Amino acid sequence: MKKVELLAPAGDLERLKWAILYGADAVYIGGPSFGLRANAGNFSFEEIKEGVTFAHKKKAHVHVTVNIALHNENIDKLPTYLKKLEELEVDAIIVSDPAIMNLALKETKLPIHISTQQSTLNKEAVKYFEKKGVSRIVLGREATKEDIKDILKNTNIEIETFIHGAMCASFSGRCVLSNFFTGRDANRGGCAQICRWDFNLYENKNKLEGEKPFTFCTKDLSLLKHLDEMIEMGISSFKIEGRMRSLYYVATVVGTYRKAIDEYYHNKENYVYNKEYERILNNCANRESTVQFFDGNYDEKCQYYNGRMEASNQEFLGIVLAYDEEKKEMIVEERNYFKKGDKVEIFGPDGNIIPYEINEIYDEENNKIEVVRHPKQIVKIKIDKKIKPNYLIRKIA
Amino acid sequence: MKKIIIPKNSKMIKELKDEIDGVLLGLKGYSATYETEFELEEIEEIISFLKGKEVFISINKNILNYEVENLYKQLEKLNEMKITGILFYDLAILNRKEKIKHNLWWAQEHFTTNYLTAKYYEEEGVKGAYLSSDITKKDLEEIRKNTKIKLMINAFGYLPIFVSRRNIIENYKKTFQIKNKGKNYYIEKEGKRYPIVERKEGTYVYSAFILNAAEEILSFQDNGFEYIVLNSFQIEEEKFKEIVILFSKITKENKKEIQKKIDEICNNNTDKAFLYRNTIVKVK
Repeated sequence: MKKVELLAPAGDLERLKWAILYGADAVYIGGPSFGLRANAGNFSFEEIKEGVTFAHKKKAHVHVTVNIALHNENIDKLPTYLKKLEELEVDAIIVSDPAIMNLALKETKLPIHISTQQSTLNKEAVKYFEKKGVSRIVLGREATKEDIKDILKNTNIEIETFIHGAMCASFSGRCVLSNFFTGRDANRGGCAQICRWDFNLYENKNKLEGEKPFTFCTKDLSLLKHLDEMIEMGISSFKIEGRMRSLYYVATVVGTYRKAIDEYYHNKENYVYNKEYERILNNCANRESTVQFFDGNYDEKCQYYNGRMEASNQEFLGIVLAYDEEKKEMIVEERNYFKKGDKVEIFGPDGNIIPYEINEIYDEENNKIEVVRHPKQIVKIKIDKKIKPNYLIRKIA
Repeated sequence: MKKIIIPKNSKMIKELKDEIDGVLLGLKGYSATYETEFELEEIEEIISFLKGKEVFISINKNILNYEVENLYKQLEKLNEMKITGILFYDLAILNRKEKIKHNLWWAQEHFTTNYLTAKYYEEEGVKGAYLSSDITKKDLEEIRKNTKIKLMINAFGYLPIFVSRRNIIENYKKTFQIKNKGKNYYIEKEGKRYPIVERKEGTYVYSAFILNAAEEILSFQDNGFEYIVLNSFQIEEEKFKEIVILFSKITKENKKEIQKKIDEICNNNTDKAFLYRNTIVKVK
C-alpha cells in the first residue's frame, strides 16, 4: 500500500517552505484568483513558480485551489489561468465547479482533485467524478468512518479526507450567511465566518438563554487518535486545514502528524497512539478539538460555546536562526515575550523535541538580559546541545 | 413564464390550483430547507388532482452514503409518476441519469451562478437549472442569454442561506439544559430576525427578509425565463394566497403598485436580495 500523503496548508511562500521542511508531502495554496481565501496572502504566479521549484527539489507536491463557485464575470479569464498553472508545473488543481473540471480536463493535463466544497459524501457521487477522469476526491467533512470505508470499498479513486483543523458548521458550499450578513461572498473566497458569531435565539417570543450565547461555532477537528485506522482504511491523503494559520501552527501540526505517520509505518504491529502528541496539538490550537463526524456522534460535544476571544499562539517564542558552536549559543529571532527561567521545548523538522530551561540570554551586543520583549528581536541563548537552524522554541505551560 | 409555488400542504395546492402553473415539492427525507416534505403517496394524489399542471420534485439534500440505495428506490417509484422534472443537488442523482425517466434540473442552490456550468450540465443531459438568489439580475439575464437550458428563478419568499447536518438548536438546548419544546425558532442579530428550522436531518437558516421580485417578473418574462418560484415558507396561508393571486395580475402598468401591496402584506419585511447588489469578494 502506498504511504499516505500528508497535505498541509500554506498561506504564503514562507509557510509553504516551513510546511515542507517540517514534513508535508504536499501543500495546497491559493493562486492570484479563483481560490476560496480571497483575503489571505495567496500566491502570485512568480511565488507559485518559486514554491513549486522548492517543493519539487524536496520531492513534495503543490496543489492549487481553483475552487470558487464560478460567476459569469470569472469565465473569460479561466482558460488562461488554468494554462498558466499547467505551465508552472503545479501537481494538481483543487476544483469544486464541474465546469472548471471540464475545462481543465479538455484544455490541460493538470490532475484534478474535487474540492470538499462539493460535499461529496456518497459512493455514487464519487463514481460520477471518477468516470469524468479526475484523480482524487476530497470528501465532505460530514463523512463518518463507515461512510469512508464503504466509499473506498466501492470506488477506485484516490480519497482525501481532513484530519485536523477548523470545521464549517454547515455542509461546505451551502452556507451564505456571510453574503447575507456582510455582503461578502462565502463561495468566492470572502467568508466572514458568521458561524462563529453569537446570536440571540428565540422560540416565538421567548428568548432561550444558556450560560453562553447561541452560536453555530464548532470545535476543531483532530483525528490523530484514529490515524492508524485511517491509514489502514486506504485513504490516500490526510489534509490539514488552515491556509490562514501561522507558521508556528503549520510547523507544529505538520511535524506532529509527520512523526505519528512515520512511527506507524516504521512499526505497524506495535504502533501505539502517543498522548504526548495530543498535548502538543492542543497547545498550539485556539479551540478545543473532537473527532467530529468520524465516529458518527456529531452531537452537542462538537459545538463550541466558550464565547472567549480565540487565543493567539502565545507559546511560540522564537525561531532558531543559527548555532555558535564556539560560544555554545543558539541565535534566536523572538516571536513572543519570554524571559530567563522559562521552561521551553525546542523542536525541529527532524522530529526531535528538546526540553530546556532558559538560563542565560544575551542581546546582539552581548549584554546579558533577563527578558526578551521586542518583536523579532535577535538574541543569543546559552545551550550546550547543538541546535540546528529552523528549529522552533515553544513555552511549556 | 410559468408560476410555480412551494406549498405548505395539499389543501393550499387545491385552493390555488387555478392561479398557478405547477408546484415544486419536497420529497420526504430527501429534501433540505422545504417547509413541507411530501410522501410518495401524497405526491401521487397531488398529480392526480392537479391534472395537467406541472409537478417538480426537489431532491436537494446532500445524500449521505447510507441513503443512496433508498434514494434510488424512491427514484424508481417516481419513474412511475407523471413528474415534470426532478431538481437535484447531489451528483449521486446525475450518476443515475440513465435510469431516471424524468427531466433532471440542476439545483445546487448557491452554485447555480453562471452560464458555463449551466452549459456543462446541459451537455450532461440536464434540462433545466434553478438559479441562485446570490447573484444579480444582470447575472441572471446573462445566464439566460448564453444558455438554452430552461431556467427557474425565485421571485418571492424567504431564501435558504445555511444547511447543516448538525442539530444546532438541540445541541444548544442540551448543553445548557434548556427545556423548550417549541418549533418556531429564529435567531436575532442587529435587530434582524432569521428563521431557523431544525429537523432530524439537520439545521436550516433563512434570510431575514422576504424576497419580493414582483416588479421584476415582466422583465424576466421578456428575457425568456421559463419559471418563477413563489415560496410559502413561514408566510401565513391566507396572505400567501393573496400574494399568489397578485402575482397573476401583474402588468406593466400596475407592477409598482403590486410590488407595494405585497410589501405591505409582508409588513414591509421584504427586499430584493442580490438582484441589484454584487457580493464582495475581496475586502479592501
